[in-house]
Amino acid sequence: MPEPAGRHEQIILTAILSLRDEAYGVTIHEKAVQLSAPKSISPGAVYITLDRLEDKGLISSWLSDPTPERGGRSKRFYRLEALGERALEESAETAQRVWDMVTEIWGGFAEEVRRRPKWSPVRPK
Amino acid sequence: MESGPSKIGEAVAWWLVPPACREEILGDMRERYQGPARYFLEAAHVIPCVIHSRICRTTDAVVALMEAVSMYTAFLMATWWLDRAMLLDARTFAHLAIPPVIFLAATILADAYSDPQKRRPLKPVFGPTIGFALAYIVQATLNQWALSPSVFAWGSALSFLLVSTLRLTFPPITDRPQAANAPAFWQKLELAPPSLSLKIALLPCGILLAVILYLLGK
Repeated sequence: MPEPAGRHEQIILTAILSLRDEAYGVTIHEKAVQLSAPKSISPGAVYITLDRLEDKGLISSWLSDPTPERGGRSKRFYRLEALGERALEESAETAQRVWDMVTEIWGGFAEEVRRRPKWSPVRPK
Repeated sequence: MESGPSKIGEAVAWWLVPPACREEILGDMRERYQGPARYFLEAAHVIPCVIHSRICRTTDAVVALMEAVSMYTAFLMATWWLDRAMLLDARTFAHLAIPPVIFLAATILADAYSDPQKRRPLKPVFGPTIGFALAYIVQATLNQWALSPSVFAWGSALSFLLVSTLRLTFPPITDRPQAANAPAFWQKLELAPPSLSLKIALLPCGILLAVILYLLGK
């Protein structure tokens, strides 16, 4: 049974899943920024999360051959392990259940709230 | 537009990033390079995160706690034998904690900065040796809080002996043998007691720190 993944971990796991064979530090960070929008996610936080996920056995990594555009340095590629896939699946199922419950209680109101433009207060003169 | 960071900037980053993740971190930073200021800002944020993450990976909370307790006990025993009158002053108990804290910090950092590809038989003793040297320098500069030379010498010798024995018995996590198909850190989680993590070990350290600060303020 995998440990439940936190918010950052879910984002990184999803990024690795979507990038497939191209998942390394830079691309994972770019994808994570897209996924966590409008909130930002720093490269440092991505590295910490990647290490933590590897410690948990949810992902594994390997070093590529050196590339000239990186000054002759290698890339560390990441891959989702079976445990990581299961953790992500469980997180997605939980999020789906929460969303189903919200829409069930609020009905069409949830959709309306989502589409409503942001409230902008008018300062009284 | 410049193609990459300056050699000096990259050399500084190279020294600061732990060797175990140097290759990919510096490569990623170079790929993201958008100018010297951005590079500096990124390095200022990424490098502390990477060091923190590396410390979490290489520090065994149980062994660190055992080392801290054994070192403090060694200094306490040295004081008991050589200068028992010192123990009548409550502040001595706080002063005795300074060398073990330096020892431990140096050992933790030495583990974080050790290169997992280089395996040497005396590697576990490297951290305590650096710690001993640093503690000596600090003792030489601290006049008010310094221990007497004989207490410091005997305490350090005993600490070195105890810590080296502990580290040879429980080598740093990166030096432990690994199973063929299991990730190293996953194996570490399998072996470690489930209830004692680094965060939990910080609690007694925090209490100890509070006691020390209280005694120093007295």
